[in-house]
Amino acid sequence: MEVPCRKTWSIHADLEIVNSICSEISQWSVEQNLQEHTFPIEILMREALNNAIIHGCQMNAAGNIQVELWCDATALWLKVNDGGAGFKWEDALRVEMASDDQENGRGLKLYQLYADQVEFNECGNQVTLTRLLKDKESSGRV
Amino acid sequence: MQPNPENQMEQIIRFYKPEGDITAAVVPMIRIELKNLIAEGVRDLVVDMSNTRVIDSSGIGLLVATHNSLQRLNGRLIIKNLSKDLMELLQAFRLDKHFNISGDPRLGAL
Repeated sequence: MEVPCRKTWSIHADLEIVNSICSEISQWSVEQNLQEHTFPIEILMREALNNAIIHGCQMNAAGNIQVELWCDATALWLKVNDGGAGFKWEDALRVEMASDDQENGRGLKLYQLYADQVEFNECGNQVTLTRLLKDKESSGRV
Repeated sequence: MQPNPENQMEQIIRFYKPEGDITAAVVPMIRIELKNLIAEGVRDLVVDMSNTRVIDSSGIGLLVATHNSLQRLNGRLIIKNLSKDLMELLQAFRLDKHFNISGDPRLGAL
């Protein structure tokens, strides 16, 4: 893996922008020789941005979202802040897995599936997702 | 006159191949297309994922909704050509047991 890195974006709440950021991150992860993490990193980034745009900014394109990605040799972190009202994340994280025929309710589970650590700020308008780049076997995640 | 089984099959089975990923930005459009197919009488819908690398939670929701709609009409959603990553994703949500994934012997040549 190459040197530690940091990337930041400041975007409007537009779902079309999610594709361009995710393409950029996927390409970057390949350049960093992190191919085995490309799919999980993209899923995490997509869900965090989708949640920020759809729930945090309620699809209002005037909403502003701050995105940060940084990593070192051991882990990668994604932080997304939507500046919105937040939500009761403690309750949401306690909810069981969606039933098989339920359409919604899998976004936060995707965080838990592909990240080793999921942290929200107090009001819930900022999420920080940590994915370990080593010791995958011991972490139990996908 | 007896209905021709081959014509009947043509009426109810349809293949649908998304052009790319099934994510929040395109789910509303794909939802309309799939609803239209069901409204036209399609009952066995085969979704070919050859061009699909990523599905987010809204895409998973769309597949579940389509599966539910077809099941209510005694139809089936059949998913084929899933990548390893996407198969693992569906398995993590137990949806590999819920959906019909191509390769299942019960589905025959589909």
